[in-house]
Amino acid sequence: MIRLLAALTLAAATSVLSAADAQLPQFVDATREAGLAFQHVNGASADKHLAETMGSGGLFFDYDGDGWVDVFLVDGGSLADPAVAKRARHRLYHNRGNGTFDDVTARSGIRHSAYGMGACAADYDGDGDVDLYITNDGSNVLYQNRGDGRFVDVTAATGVGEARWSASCAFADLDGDGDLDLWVTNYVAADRGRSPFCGDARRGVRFYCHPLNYDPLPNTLYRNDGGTFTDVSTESGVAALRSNGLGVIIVDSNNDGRPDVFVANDSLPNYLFRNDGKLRFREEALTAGVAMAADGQPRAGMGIDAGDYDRDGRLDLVITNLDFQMHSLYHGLDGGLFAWSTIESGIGYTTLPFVGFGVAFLDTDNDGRLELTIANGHILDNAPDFRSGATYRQRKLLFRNTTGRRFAEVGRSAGPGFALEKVGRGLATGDIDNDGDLDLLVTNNGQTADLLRNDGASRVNALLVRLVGTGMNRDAIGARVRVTTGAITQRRDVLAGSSYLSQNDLRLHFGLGAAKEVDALEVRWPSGRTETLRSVPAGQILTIEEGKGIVSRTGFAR
Amino acid sequence: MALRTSLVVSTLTLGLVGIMRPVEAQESAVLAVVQDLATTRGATPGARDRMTAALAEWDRQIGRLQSQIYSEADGPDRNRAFQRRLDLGLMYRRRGRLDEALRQFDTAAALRPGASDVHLLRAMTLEWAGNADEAGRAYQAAWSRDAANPVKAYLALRRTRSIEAASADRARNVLSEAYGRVLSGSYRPLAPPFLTLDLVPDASSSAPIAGEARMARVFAQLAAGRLDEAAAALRVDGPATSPDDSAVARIARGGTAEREGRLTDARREYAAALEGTLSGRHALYVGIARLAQVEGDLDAAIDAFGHAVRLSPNDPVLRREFAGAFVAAGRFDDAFGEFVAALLIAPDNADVLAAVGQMFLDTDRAGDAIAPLRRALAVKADRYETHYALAVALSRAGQTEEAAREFERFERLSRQAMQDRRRVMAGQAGGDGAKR
Repeated sequence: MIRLLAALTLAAATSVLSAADAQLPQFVDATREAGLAFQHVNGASADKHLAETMGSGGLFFDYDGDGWVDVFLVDGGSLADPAVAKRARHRLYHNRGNGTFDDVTARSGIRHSAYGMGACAADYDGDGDVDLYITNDGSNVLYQNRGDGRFVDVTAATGVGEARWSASCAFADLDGDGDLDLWVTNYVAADRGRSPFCGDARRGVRFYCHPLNYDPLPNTLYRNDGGTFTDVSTESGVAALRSNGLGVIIVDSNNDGRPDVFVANDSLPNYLFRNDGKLRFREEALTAGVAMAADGQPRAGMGIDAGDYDRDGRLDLVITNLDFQMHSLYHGLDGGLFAWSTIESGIGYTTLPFVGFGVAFLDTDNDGRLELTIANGHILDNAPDFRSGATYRQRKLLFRNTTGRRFAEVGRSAGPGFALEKVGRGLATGDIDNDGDLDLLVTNNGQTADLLRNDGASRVNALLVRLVGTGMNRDAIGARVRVTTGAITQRRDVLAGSSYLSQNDLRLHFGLGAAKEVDALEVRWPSGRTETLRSVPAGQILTIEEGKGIVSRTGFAR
Repeated sequence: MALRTSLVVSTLTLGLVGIMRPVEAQESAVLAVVQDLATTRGATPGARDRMTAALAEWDRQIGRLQSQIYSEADGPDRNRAFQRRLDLGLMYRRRGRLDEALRQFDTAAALRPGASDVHLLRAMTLEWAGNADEAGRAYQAAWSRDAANPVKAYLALRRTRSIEAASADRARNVLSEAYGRVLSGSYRPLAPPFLTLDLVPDASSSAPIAGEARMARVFAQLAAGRLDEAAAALRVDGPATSPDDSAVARIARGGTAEREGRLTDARREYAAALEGTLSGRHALYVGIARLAQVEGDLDAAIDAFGHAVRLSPNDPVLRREFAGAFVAAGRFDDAFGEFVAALLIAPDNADVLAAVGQMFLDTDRAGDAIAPLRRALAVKADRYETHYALAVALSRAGQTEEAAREFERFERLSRQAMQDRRRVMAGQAGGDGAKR
């Protein structure tokens, strides 16, 4: 019998390009010239501990407030070999502003501990600088930024040392009291000393086990009580639900002014925790339409992001999944509902061969439409033994927004940075050179991280917006900005934690195409206050302070 | 590479409805040779002689029938004359003598101007002859004489290159009415609704029957219905193309390319294998279409699926997949047409019904999604996926109480499925299969 196509044993896909490909920005691998010499230690062992293949993440954040976004990379470690574990080192890279970075890890005081997974960063104590929370398979760590380039471990004092296997995290003011609470997704209860055998003993082939072989874990919610935290997982209703949590974003999805929490769960239904504003949550993913795919089957949810890709004012959602599942795109409808729009959006079949992790909505070409980029890489380091044609290393995907509601995959034409085939995990977006276009940070399991510089989009008009809130939420996490040019309104939200184990530059990026100014820029602050600015010129980085309007303007470095 | 060789002559029946006659003796003799070729994938000694003899006898048989008909000079019984012309036309058509077939169909059409099916036969013969424009007009002629027939409406809509907007709307209305009858349970097909006229129906094999190098030309001619040319090419010691160019080799290389992720190469190999594949070419087209989808080439996918459904028109699963390609391309009217075509074949196919509902859900038409989803559940009540879709549809349509009940059913069924899965995995931990 001819074994024809039934299994679609695919390892990679080429792309079909649209007529507009000539204008595609080119992503250049700037890792080496930037000085990012990071090699992820995954501790891969014969024991096949699941953690070895799940990490680790990275983030863009301006830790020293100099206006140039810096890089933090989480290192893994080893559960099987203490000697290997000692080689692991998180890295903090300071952006010099000239395209290069300094490794400032040693003097920062940031130390590696446990098996590193992800990180998120926000000014939890309202002192004006961005603090850092690192998740681990083991006790998590909160580093307080002292404002002089040094970080101090305040985990014990602040009470946020979740000791189970955590994955992603996000800061947000969930109870509306002005300070930032902390959400942590936890993955599975895996024995760190022993890993079950999964595979084919007769063939001598061992695989990483499916997460359903382990007990799921609940999420952890820490309430910020003015600089220290209290675990309120139980009273908030969060602890009652257990799943295999990986990605998380916190964003107001139904425009009620309260941030909601979306959690991508691996092989179990995703969560949407609706917030009543008093730190009580109702899980409504099923009725909202984001728990699973259209076929009623849960997918292996990994990374997650939200954005209004069709500019209808309603938030849409993307969640990355395993190969042969398609990555999931949920189109926002009225009433806080979502429709699984994976197929008709054009991302369905193209993502079939890929195991997706980090993901972001972003405007790569500054045309005012959100693209979608995804870091891919298989779970199994011996993937071809599992499925013929499967590959461990996979290329990244870039879905160009062609019509407002449809995407076409153009990754192969997006420059040498996109052509790299690696074991992708985390992905973050940010403007590393302040030239008005978005660059990418991609982390790879057991490999070097990639800093992909966007060359080309900076020729097109754009605006970067940094918000400064009042009170303890200095970075205005949870604020929503709407920029209107003509009949088109774009929306961005300030999120401290998204994608997979990662976080984007907190500054909001708006591509403006041919528009030289925006007609209106509306900020809805986390406090509920709304401010509108008129006739704002493009081509600059604006700092807007709550109640004071624009407090600084810097032209793009072009 | 092991090729499927289980093709038997008895499966090579003509998929015609009502107006079709059983296979004639000499036609069977030709098919026996074809079967032999399909089984051995090579010309056995004497195959050419047997084929040539069978064709000659078939021609004599046709000649006798023609003489008989001409001697009757269409007589006073126009119905009998009409039927005889149809019989003769069909025989010519299967024999591959297309011009003569068309002359008989034309004569038949003149004998009974209101008859519809003869125009369908004309259309299919014209299409086979490569005259797409004339075929389109014939499809429309068939439909105009049987305006409520959804199969003919579908064919007029899909096979006419530039159908007028008003006609297209009318055809879609006919399909919508048929869809309504499917949902109400009042539509029951008596036989596979889509005609096939080929001597060797492509759908007689679900996998490609591909030839070795020296059979490539024979299979190509047979698949094209050029029987005399096939017989001429049928020489044991005949010239062969390079083994690397054979359909078998190309399919094998396509499979390797596919497994290695070289999708463009795989598509190219499968496309090249079409010529030299006797039957089951629709499976090659399906493969090409699926690969094109993964490559993001939706137009190519639709084109390939289109070829596949022409070759295997009575396969509801294939039509559902074709409809899915239209959905992916945002061509929802075309998708609906294919879904209806699938339901005309299999009105109780729960998968197709659920897919129709899902399309409406995906296009923000939750109200329209409810009926097909309910019908799908009436056919297959334990599909938790459909309960989920129905719950979502009801929820979006504002029918919250019923939605809650459906969500409850879904959760109960899916929880059970998840527990079963965990149980299986727990049993496998320490053994095989618990990996991702």
